[in-house]
Amino acid sequence: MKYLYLICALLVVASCSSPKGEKGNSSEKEKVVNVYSQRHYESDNILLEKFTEQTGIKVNVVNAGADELINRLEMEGALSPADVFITVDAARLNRAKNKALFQKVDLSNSKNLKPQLLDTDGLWFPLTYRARVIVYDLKDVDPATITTYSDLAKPEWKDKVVIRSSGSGYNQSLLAYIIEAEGEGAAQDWVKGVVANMARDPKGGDRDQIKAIASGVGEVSVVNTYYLASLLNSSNPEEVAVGKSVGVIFPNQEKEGTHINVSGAAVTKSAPNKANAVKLLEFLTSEESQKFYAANSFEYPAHKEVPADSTVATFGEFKASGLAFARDMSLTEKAVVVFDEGGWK
Amino acid sequence: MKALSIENINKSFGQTKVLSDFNLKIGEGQITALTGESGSGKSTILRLIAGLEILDSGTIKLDNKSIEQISPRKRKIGFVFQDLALFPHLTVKKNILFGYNGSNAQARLEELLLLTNLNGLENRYPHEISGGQQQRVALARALASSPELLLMDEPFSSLDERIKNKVRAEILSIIKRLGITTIIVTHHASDAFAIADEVAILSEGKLLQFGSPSQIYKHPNNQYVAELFGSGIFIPATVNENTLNSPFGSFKVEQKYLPKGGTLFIRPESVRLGQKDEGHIQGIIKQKSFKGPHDVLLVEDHRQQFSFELETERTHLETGNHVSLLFDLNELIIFPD
Amino acid sequence: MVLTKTAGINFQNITALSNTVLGAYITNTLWISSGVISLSLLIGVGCAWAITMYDFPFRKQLEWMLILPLAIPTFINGIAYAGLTDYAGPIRIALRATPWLDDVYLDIMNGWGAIFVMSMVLYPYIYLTSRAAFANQSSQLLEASKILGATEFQSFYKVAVPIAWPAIFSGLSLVIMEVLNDYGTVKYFGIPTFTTGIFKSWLSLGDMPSAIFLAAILLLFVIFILSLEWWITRKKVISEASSSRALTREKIIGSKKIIVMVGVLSTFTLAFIVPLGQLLWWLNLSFTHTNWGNFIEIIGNTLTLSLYSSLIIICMGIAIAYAFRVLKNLKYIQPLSKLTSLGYAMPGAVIAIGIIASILLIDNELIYAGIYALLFGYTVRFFAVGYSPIVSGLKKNSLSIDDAALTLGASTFKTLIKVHLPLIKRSILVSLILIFVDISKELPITLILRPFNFNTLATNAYQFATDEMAPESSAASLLIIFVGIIPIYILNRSMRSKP
Repeated sequence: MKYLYLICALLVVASCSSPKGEKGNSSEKEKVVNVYSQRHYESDNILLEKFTEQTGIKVNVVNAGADELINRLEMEGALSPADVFITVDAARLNRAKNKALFQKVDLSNSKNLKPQLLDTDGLWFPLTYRARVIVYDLKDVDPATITTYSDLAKPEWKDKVVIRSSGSGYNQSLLAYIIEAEGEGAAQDWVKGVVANMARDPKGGDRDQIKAIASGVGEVSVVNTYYLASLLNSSNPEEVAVGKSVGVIFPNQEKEGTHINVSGAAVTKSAPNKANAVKLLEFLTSEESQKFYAANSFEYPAHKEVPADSTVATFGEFKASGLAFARDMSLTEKAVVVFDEGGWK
Repeated sequence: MKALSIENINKSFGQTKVLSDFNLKIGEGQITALTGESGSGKSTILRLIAGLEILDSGTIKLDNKSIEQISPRKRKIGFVFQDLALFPHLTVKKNILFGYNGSNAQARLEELLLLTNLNGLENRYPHEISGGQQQRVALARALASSPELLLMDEPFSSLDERIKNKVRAEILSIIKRLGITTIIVTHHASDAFAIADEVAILSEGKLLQFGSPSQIYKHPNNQYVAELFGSGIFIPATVNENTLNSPFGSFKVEQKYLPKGGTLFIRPESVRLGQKDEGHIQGIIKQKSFKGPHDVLLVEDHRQQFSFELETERTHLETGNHVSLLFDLNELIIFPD
Repeated sequence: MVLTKTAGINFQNITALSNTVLGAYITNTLWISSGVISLSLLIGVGCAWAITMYDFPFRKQLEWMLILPLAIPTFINGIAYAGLTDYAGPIRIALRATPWLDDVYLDIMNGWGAIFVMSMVLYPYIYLTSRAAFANQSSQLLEASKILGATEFQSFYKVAVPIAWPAIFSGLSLVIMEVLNDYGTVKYFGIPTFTTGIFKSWLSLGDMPSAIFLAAILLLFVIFILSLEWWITRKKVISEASSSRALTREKIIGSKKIIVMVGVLSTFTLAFIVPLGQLLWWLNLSFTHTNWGNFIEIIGNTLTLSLYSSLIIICMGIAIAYAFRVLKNLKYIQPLSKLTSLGYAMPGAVIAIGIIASILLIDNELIYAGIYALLFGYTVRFFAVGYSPIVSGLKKNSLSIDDAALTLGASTFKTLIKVHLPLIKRSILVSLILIFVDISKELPITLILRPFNFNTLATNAYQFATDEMAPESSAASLLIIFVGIIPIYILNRSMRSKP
């Protein structure tokens, strides 16, 4: 019985100490903006705090996976409290766009953003991007032998490729890019070639691929610059050593350019605080914020004038591909099917 | 203290008919035992009276008022359950006063403790007291709100043989002192005899016989009742005028209105040892076993084996001895075919 | 709820699905579940037997410490083991420093690894139920079996296990459900299963019909398991030995002592010490840049949610279980109450979206009113966890107790409050703790349904883990474990003391 008392006591304590999450208030008077975001980084939080300091507008955030958030937006429809939607993947932005979840707004900063990153209809705006690069074992691989993603499907890389599973959104986007650039047949061949070259079953995250190379399981992999940079800045010195053991190749420089993942933001169709939402987007695309991203998030800023300013800058300059692959959602869906058919786990 | 009348009640559980057109009248202040084999419907009657089961048809009247529409909560009936159903987490005191709503609970408690001789145990938990004490707690609890009728379901079945007689006597004296109308369900004839003013015998949902214990013992309505109440042996027989023909030969009986044929039932006390050659049965003792005041003899004459209970202490009869047995012809019971 | 959202089913997609990956989903799911079933049965029942039957050093401490892995979220255990064995993990660092062994490659991220990682955190369910069953068994049965010439192993599997089987199975069915709805571990380990398939169809392909098709197959499987459990426990006539002598534990010596102690100690080490050690090592690496100030609020959120939802589930559980007891004509539909367990087997994200859909149907304001949607989601998801201990607790109260209260004039409600609740308080405590621990670990529902600016320990750990920053996630992971340990300790004490 005494435990029941203990529980009651805990309950009282819990109720007293319950500031908890505030509800997304849609009242204009309170000066708020409600954000559904896939970006859950500490640096983003600092940036949003700065926004509140400057404008007095309070930012409410829900973080979750992009697909879950899109589903939630879709279901909530006109009743959604969300004003701004942020994800790290252009394909997801376009999916939401095709579902008519966004509204068009004019952003004075959009002219300052890299034009190839912009949405053709101006429904969403890029914030940052990451490159999907090939990393190789500095000891065993001559970087001159690889210039394209397709090179990974060549027989000489048999049992040397380590790569993530087809469930990874990054890989789905990459394959959609290949389908868009080279056609479905070429994409099927590429999948078959890479599957044949795999040193092990696909598994783990991007960092795990790099660690696998360091372990000698494979020699080459496809990873995101963001994760390589964060590995190089890890709190575990061994991980830093792992990051230093690989070199970076920006593939397809002679062709369409290296595949990138764009992180972007949009104002939702039903935004109850539209004015504040636009203010937030202007703030995030401003030169000041872009510099902050460049310095703190291991990403490439979307701003024309702002250079990369973190570890990723050490990887060198490169030509980034356009976003044609991301516009047509059916490409990503096709990519999933091609993966499944090719036996890419 | 009210009279109870059960009229034409019916009860089925699913496809099984448990009671059909059952009738019983119980006098005010009487202690009545319902007895029969398990499945005879005796417990169901108790539960119907208490309202724990719902009647299919018929009526139950307490003091000439139908009670079947009254919620079991308000019937003013005390119930002592077979497993006692004492609340294990409550003290004796809280168990007893659980349903008591009247004024001055403490005084009522003391009254009940005194009545059931439980003084000093009021702060104990049920598992801390003896079986007999638990029995009395259950009784005190059932009596706390001064019910008009007391129902007890197999109250002694969980008790040790050793303390059973003592507990039975205590309970009986409490009930007698209160003079409350009481129905006790038991499958032990000895319990029924020991405490009941009247006994109702049930089989398969029907009332076989209703009467005082001695009436039933001496004049059972049929073989089933005879066997249920006390031991004895059955012997097939035919009757012609005043002559009874049995496997042991014919002998004169004084009883009138005898049926033509049937079964002769002999209670052990109607059998005594006779002189050689004068007995109704002559035979050899095949087996002898000790059973308290009596011995049980398995006697074989040239036709059959019979089992008798006899006081043989002073006769020094042993297995293999020849024995001659006499029946008390005035106490013979004959069931018609 | 999710079902109402679909109109027709696209058979083309489903055919494509069955041609390509459905086979792999089925094989992997069956393989992983049967692996986890076998391993957690072996560990759970084995440890329960050793703890109940033998006396050896530290037995008393190990008795409750063996439950502790329950506090570790499966996903976190996966990350910890992957981190332990990967290139930058302590084992490989040590191996690299050793000549001859410097090139050893350890890989835990495969099917066998997943089976191991899941069994290590799920076996306590079986350990708890079978330990209780063994402890309640009459010592006379085992003595009889001994006298009849059975070896100890024969007594174990011919007498003890069959008698305890319904209890073991009830723990096992929880394990099966946990395995079926696991998403994090199998995805991280790269094993396509039904649940990852549901998410891929639904989220990547936007193909709700295929997702529902897969979910329906999963549900059929779960219904099959539940019916099996119902069928097994239906025939349970074995009563517990309430008054029989307490078991005297055998003081073991020699090789037997070594085997038993090695088995139990290595279980505890692998299931708890090792992942905890890895997390502590990470914490040491990330300690300086962890934002500790946030944690007070985050812990407060976690505790509040867990406590409120446990209480809601328990009140509902008591109400429903008691209704089934009082209203006898409801008995025929009682097996249906098993269906509430389906929520436990459904992937949390599916439930969350279903909750949004149904809340929008009821009252669209509700979803923005704080934590109600979360509480709703948890209730759907974890109802079964809290309901079953309450039902089995109520079953132990003899029916004549209700009759007694009734004839004494108590209302149905008074009987519940004054008689049943005090009698089943131990079961209530058990269910409270199980729900509490489960909710403090819960992730997908929390992620999707939480209000703005709301974090729990699980979302905090997940945030860093998905960003592949395992060291930074260790602080929250350790706090989840710590928050779980206290109630687990209480749980054990309450299960050990006799009523």
